[in-house]
Amino acid sequence: MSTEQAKPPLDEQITRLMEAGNQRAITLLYEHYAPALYNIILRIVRAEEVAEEVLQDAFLKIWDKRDQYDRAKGRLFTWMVRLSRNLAIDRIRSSQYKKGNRTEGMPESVHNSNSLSEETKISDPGLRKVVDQMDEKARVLIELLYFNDYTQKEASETLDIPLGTVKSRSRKAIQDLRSLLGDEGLLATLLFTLLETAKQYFGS
Amino acid sequence: MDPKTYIASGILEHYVLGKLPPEQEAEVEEYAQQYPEIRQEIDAIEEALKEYALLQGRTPPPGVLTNILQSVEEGDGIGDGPSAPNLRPALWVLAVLLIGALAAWFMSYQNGQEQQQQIASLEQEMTALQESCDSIQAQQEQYLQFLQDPDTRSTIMRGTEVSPQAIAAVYFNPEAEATYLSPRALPATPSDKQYQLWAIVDGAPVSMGVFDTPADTADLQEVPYVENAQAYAVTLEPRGGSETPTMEQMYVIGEI
Repeated sequence: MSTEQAKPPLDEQITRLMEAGNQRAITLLYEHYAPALYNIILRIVRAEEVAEEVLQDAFLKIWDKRDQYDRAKGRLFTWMVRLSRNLAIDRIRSSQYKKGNRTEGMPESVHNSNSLSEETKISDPGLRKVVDQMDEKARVLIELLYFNDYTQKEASETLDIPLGTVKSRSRKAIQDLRSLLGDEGLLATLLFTLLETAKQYFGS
Repeated sequence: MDPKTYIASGILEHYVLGKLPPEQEAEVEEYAQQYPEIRQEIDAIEEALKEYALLQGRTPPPGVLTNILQSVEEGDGIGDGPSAPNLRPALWVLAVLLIGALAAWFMSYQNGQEQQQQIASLEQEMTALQESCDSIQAQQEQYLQFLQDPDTRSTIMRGTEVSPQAIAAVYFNPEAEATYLSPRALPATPSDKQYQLWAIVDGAPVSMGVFDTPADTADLQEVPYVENAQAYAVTLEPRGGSETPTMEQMYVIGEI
């Protein structure tokens, strides 16, 4: 995988539309990335109605702050994930704060998020492959760090692994992912996106 | 710094995952610019995580996109953000132009008002002048008609010792039974005195009224007609006139 050539033309196209202020960019972003972002948000807020609101807010914020996206620093998707994740975390923090229940346990959310992702796993062949062939702990570590925005310390406590090995293990896990996904992964992603788009149009 | 060791340290994964403190993030970004292999590694990590995230995707409830587009439409309608071409400067220019136009219109309107008032007062003045002109013309025509009448005759009254330079005239028409006086060159009357015109009929003076000089009407003034006058004379009398003329104060006299 080389640098610039590997950058999907889709992102290029969307970025250009965004810079031009063309609202078609929103539709394209939504069609391709809303399911992934929705999943991440749902893992954090754990309620579909809330996740729906946060997803909507996230896209509005993405559009609002589109000038702040710096393509030199990374991919559009990475930037969108951070933004959505932060919104979702802000949402649960503010609701927990209101309830006076800020210490609501992290581990609990992990189990929940696991069960949430477990439900959806089976249907997709690409995901099936990842789940079957990857070390469970490594996969969950990535999910916690990436989807749930856990700190290294939180991840080490939750998964009961030494803090010192979180960094090396997450590198190993991502490398596993890279080899498992490879070209096939790209194809699966494409198919999945198509499927999701079709589902959206013909009703899920 | 060896890029390979740097890549192997796992710091790039944590960079992509957003787990690095800001100063370390800046360091990674700097290295990424310097070393293409680091940039490539970051890209590959991002791509792998992205693909994994896409695999896990769940279809959001329907209608979210519509809501988003609607909100964006409403938000962008105000005109901020680079989306719609920024109309704000144009609007300002328009507003300034509009205000300028309004001011100009108002000024010209006020000007117009003033001018209209001027025109109105000039029209009034003009009408007054026209009327006065008409009445003077009518008067003059009347005088002219009178003077041109073949039956009209004139008597010049010349100055006496009291006022040798004085001169006046009487025009009379026995057919029309009308008489006009032309004071011409009589000295101005003092405020307590008035001139009195007399007709001499069979040696006796008959008063024909009093007048002032300079006269209100510079020209002719109509005076009562006296039949069979043989001469006319003007004396200076106390204001209001006298029963009989003060002979020492006779200024002009003329016989027919």
